[in-house]
Amino acid sequence: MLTQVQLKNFRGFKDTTIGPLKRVNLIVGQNNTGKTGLLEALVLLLGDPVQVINLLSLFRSTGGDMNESWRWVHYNKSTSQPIEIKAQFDGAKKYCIELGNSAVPQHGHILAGSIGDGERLYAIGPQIHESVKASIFSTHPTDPRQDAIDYNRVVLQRKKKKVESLLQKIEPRLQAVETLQTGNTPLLYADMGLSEMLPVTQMGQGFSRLLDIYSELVVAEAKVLLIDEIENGLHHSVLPVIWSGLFNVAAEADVQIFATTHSWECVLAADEAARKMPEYQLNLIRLDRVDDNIKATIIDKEAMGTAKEHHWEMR
Amino acid sequence: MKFVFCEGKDDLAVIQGVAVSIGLNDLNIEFFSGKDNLTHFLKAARLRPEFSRNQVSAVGIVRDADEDGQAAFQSVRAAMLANGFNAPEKSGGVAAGEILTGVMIIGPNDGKGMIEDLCLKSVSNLPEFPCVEDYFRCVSQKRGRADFSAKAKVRAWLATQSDHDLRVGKAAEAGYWPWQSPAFEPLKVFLKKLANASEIKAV
Repeated sequence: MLTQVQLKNFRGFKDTTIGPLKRVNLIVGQNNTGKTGLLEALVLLLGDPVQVINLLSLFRSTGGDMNESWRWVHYNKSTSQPIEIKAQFDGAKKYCIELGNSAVPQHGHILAGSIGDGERLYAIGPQIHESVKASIFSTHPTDPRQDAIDYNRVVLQRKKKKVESLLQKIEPRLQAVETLQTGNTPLLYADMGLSEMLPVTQMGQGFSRLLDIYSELVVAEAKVLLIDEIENGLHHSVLPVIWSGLFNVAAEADVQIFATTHSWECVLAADEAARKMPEYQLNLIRLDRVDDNIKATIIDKEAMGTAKEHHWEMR
Repeated sequence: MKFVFCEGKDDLAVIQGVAVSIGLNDLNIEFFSGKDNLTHFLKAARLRPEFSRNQVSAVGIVRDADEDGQAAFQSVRAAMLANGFNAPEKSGGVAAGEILTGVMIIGPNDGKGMIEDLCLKSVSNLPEFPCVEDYFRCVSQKRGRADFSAKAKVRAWLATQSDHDLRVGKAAEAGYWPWQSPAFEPLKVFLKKLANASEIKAV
């Protein structure tokens, strides 16, 4: 599990250390304070190096000159200093990636080249990214065909009932989720007890996204889930039960979650669920722009309790 | 942004009344729900966005002296220092720093007492106040008991007002305490120091 991360020269992060991290890390902050940037940094650290260039479009809309867009990934658009993402795993193991034009440092090895203006991504330390994969849930609509293919992993691992029972807590009418191919492509269908199965694409975005997240969690191929705006498409009344499910399955599958939110109801629901677990495993991480850097403040269980008691705004 | 943290809702209303009476309308007065919660309260308060974003210029803490004003002061001082704040050397004082900090212990009876004692003192010169003292003296003689607290006397005095069912805080909001009384002067001086934080820091 990631226990600390340090971001240097990456987007708005001049030099920011965030930690200690926990099982679930909920990231809040005003607009443009680096919430999504932090998720991107973790993609850079843990994602497939070959796909690094796709970083620009994972969570954001892109357009125009890609090289120009890529320069914005650097702090102050300056490519003279390399981007550094350093991480600590389980409090001890250290891993660092750098991205820039400079020579590959000693003990470093290239992961990917020709990025942006010919920059290279190289790793220093053991190849953590091979064992700690990250899975990404952006706010972009997903490809329904790929969702159906991915769901097969859930079925193969006999975890279909688990996913269905988690979903039934927010949609009691649900009886089953099946992959069916009625035309050229497979699609996910929900059995809602109606005369005909309902394509998941015709259900709400929140349900569909939650199906993806739960499926990824139970399969646990990725050990880190990165979820942008987790509350998107979800009614506030179901947030406590969703968080309860996420905490339980994340603990069972040994998966770590990093999620952003703008919703205080979402934060309260996460805190409520965390307090029902044997061990409180939630960090509220608030990012603030201070001077020319981004500052991370970690609000722990005790501080959350005080904040709730006094109705403080902590976002 | 300037904060004043006090023990409870009654204290808050009285401090708010005093502050407004001298034109200090931009103090953020909040309560920490009892003296035993101060350390936890300050630890969490430091994590609020206003502190992270360096928007706070002053923090003042007001609490009752109870039976020992010096012990109360040392307890507040220790809580402040434990949470990374500067702390003044004496009650009513302030300490300069990135955030100006101040501590005020309410002990109007020779360093002892509480907010009720302060309110009581503020009305003690009113013509009708001896009636309240006479009432308790009479009860003492009849029942052989003399240890009536300031809270009891405050309630008795408030029971004589047009709205007879108010407690200290609500009475403050209703304007029953004479803010011009000299009893509130030390608190006014303290609040002015916090309000002038930027000028004091500049010295």
